[in-house]
Amino acid sequence: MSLLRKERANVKRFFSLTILLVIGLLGLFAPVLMPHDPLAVDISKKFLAPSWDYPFGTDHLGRCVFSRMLLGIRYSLGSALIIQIVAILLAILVGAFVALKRGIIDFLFIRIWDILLAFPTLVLAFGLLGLLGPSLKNVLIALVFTQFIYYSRLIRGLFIGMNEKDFIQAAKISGTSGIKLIIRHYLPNLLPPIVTIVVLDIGKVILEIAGFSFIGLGVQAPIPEWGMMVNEGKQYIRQHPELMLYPGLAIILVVLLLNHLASSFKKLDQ
Amino acid sequence: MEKVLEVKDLTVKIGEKNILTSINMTAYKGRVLGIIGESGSGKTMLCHAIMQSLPAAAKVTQGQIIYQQENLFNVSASKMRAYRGRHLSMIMQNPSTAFDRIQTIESHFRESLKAHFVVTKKEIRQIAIDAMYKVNLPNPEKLLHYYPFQLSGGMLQRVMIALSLAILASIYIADEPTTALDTVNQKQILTLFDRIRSETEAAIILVTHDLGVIAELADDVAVMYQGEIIEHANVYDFFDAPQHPYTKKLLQSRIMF
Amino acid sequence: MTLLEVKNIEMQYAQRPFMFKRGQETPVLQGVTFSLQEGECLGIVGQSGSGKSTLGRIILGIERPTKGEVLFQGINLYETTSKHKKIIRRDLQAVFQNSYHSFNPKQTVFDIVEEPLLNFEQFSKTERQHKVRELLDCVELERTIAQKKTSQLSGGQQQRVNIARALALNPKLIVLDEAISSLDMILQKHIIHLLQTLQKDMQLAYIFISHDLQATRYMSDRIVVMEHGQLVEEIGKDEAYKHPASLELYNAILPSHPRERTKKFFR
Repeated sequence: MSLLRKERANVKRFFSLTILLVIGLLGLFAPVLMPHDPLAVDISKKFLAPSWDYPFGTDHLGRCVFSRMLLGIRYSLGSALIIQIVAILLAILVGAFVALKRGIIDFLFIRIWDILLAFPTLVLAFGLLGLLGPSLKNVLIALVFTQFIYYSRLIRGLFIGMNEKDFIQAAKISGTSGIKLIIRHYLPNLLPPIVTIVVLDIGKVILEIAGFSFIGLGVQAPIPEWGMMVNEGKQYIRQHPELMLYPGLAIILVVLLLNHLASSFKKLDQ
Repeated sequence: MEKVLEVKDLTVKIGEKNILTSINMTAYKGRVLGIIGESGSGKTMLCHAIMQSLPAAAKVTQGQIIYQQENLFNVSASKMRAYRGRHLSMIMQNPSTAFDRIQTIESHFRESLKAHFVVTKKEIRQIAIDAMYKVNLPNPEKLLHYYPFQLSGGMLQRVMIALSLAILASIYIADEPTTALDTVNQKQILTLFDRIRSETEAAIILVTHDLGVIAELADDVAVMYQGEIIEHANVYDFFDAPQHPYTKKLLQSRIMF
Repeated sequence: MTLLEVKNIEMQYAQRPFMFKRGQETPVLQGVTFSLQEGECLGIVGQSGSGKSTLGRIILGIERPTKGEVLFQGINLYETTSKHKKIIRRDLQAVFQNSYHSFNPKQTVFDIVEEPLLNFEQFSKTERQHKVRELLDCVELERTIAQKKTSQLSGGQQQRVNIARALALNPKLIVLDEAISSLDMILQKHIIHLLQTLQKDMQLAYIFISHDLQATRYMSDRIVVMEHGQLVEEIGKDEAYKHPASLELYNAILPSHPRERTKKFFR
């Protein structure tokens, strides 16, 4: 009986992974797959109903909504992926260094990070965006920063947890040190929890990017980031709610799929 | 010699494999039965069989375990619960896993005693302190308030034995009780078992892989190999006149001076 | 030539409240001094909490003592450059107590034994493969074991891998910390004989740390006894024990026959 349940869970995970991969590929090949230029404005074609030519219709500026959604994958999902990858790589660099060196460096790290972590991440991001000004590039920087702060502390903890393990001592006695130690021993054994954390947060980051765009602090028009599309669509919520619905539902779908994937990683871990 | 527990022709299977085959052995009042074998010989499974804590997948295809004229396999779950801990007490190899980390020593005693007797809080304290004195634990009054992680392995092992003493167990089943301890602690625990055996006349079933433990404490010896008892003798005969080739090989492995 | 000199080692950890374990209120190690010659086997015995494992780590150069010096081949381990330390590493290796944690679970036996060789650049890939195979032969392991993960090995096999790893760089001194304590008796004897053969063949010196006086006496030329962090007695192989701590350890040796058991309680 429990075997059947396992199979069903596997199928579910396979399902969400496949859909996400398909979405990812669509985003990757968006320029080739787009039926129309997502930035091409043609007021004469505004608010067209869905048709073969325009699968999701057009928006208030006559742009093909479907093409904008496709390109938007790069900005919403793609940006989140980039942010996570850069943040975790930087976090490993700093976290590992601090965990292995300990002493004064660790002491300083903890004190400074305590202050930084006292701010809710969104507040930190807001502050940075306010300083730097709203743009796609700055959203990436701000979110990489906030994710990095959180992850480096986590990585430090994970590494310190491994420090006293016998095989780490044995490796040191065999002459392994520094980077070799990290790559050969620490990382392979810490990969499962690290990957789980990274995947779990992608959904959160997508929502943050969308959120910033929605209030105008993030991506600027005419970039078809999904949150931005929701923002642009909000003026027409009465007459053409679909302009908000398409990108809104897309965000929900992708975040749900990612969360489902990540929670199944977590179960695997356990 | 008075019989306390008898295992008759016990065969236990998991799937297609026999983990115990035709086991026959008897525990007597005031005597120590040493069971020696390598890991995988089935000695731990035998302990679980006596305590009726075999894994769910195990099937008893044959045999009985007789205690107080009853076959333990036919005894009701509630009666077995009453037996377990109160009459049949199991001392495990790794003391730290046998304790609940968030309960103090005193609360462990309280839980055990209340499960089998009607006692007041004051009585529990007194019984616990008495038992801990008997096992040579220093400062029992203070120890009552400690948590398991604050005690060393040797001390925890002694607390486990004190818990069994407190409820007046009549059979101690000790599964590798000293393997995780250093030599001095080991000697002390074995001496303690000897004293318990002599003062309370409890029967002791001592499972070990160490011949030294057998030489030090056992009255009778059973050798287990791949789920079977291949030799069963009193301790002197065991050392002086081993019959089975495996036993002979075992005896040759002693480091002697 | 004096291979190792340990002078007046003191080790003090920060105070921790609520510890009931022995030896936590006083320094973990105090005034420990002894030396070791090439090719010698020195046993360090004591109960758990006597500080012997800490002493082992200090001798290996992986834990700095609060006071005192460790001179290996004349060089002070804690006062040299890290470059020098790396050179010393080749000659000073360790075998820890066999446990799941003494190996990286992601590595195969081959990786584990190869690692010391990888850290010292002068071996080519074929040289390394050859050396690993040689080492596995030395410790009586079949070559087919090389591709397995350590979780698939028995306790005895794991310990042999530990030994093979320690031998890889042809060291002068191996510190064995409770190396046989978790093995059953037949295996213990095998491993001790293996270690003795290797000692002769490769002119190794050993520091054998254990709580088991009997095994230590069998292995060692000389024994030092530790109690509460202090070195209380140093004895040659067949000399008698005088200090109460040594006697306690001696009396804790289990008999090899029931007639030798201490007469205790009424039967």
